[in-house]
Amino acid sequence: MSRRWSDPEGAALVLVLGWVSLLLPATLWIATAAWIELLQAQNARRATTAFYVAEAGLDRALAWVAQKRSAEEALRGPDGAQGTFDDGGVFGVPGQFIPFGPAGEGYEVTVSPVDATAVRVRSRGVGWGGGTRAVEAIVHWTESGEVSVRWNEEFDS
Amino acid sequence: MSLTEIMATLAVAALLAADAASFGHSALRHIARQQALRDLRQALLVTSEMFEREWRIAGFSPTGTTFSGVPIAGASEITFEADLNGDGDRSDAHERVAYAWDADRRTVFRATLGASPQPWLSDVSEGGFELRYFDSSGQPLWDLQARRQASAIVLRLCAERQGGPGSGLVREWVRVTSARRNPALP
Repeated sequence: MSRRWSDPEGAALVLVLGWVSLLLPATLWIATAAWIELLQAQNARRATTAFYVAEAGLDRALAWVAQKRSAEEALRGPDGAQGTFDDGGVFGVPGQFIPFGPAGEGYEVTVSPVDATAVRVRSRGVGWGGGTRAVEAIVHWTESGEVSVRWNEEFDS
Repeated sequence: MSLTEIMATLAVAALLAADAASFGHSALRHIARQQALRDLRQALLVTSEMFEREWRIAGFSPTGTTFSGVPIAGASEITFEADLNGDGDRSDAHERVAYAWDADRRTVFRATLGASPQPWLSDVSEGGFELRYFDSSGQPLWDLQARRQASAIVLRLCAERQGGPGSGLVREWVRVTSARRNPALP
């Protein structure tokens, strides 16, 4: 028998390479699967946090708007004076970014007229990872002074 | 190297090869199963989120018109209504959306006004599209009329599909609880 077959030198390398060729695809697959799961979870987290941040902004704005006696008063902004820089705003100028979380989350709220008796309150939330969602509410004042709120959500925000 | 050594080596190599083949087969089956499970989970997430959005919007009207928003509230079917464009009616596209489970086709269908029902989620298990309604104090509502005024809903979606050749069925479910945003009005 030639030396080529009788010398075991190098057999370990062949064995290890054989096992690696088996284990490598499995490892790659596990890493890929974990990565896809992570992306799915991140997408859900982006959308969910953005939605709830937007809703938090809307709820806070509605609490402020509901104290007003008319649509016209709600449009005057925080300073209560018409024709000033903060008209259509709630927490400052319209669309001012209000931080709401440790990872850059926050919301922007604007109030715009619908008609003489109603305003549209829109809140755009920026969630974890920069995801955005927008929600809005139409606030109506009846002649008797009652306030009704109808909630809506933007699909492409 | 003697003949005995060669035969022993071949025997061990054959055992290793058989083990590797078995391992590979199991891994492939597992991959197919996990892939199916992931697809199923993603489908459930997307569909439940879509449903939840429409539930939240139900009853919306920019003109201030008030209506129930949920004219049909069954255990495995539901219809949402909203006046999205503010024209005072609920008869335009997407202003009326209905979900219903078809037992024969194991599919939940979603229908918008004026369009034929489209498959929304397939491979739904028996009883896998379940709706429960609750009042503002958290008590379950059984009466169909009372459900139209429900303050919260619980959607349970369960689906199962073949996980690949020889790997059996994969099953996944999602449960969503959502409060009513627009006040329930008769």
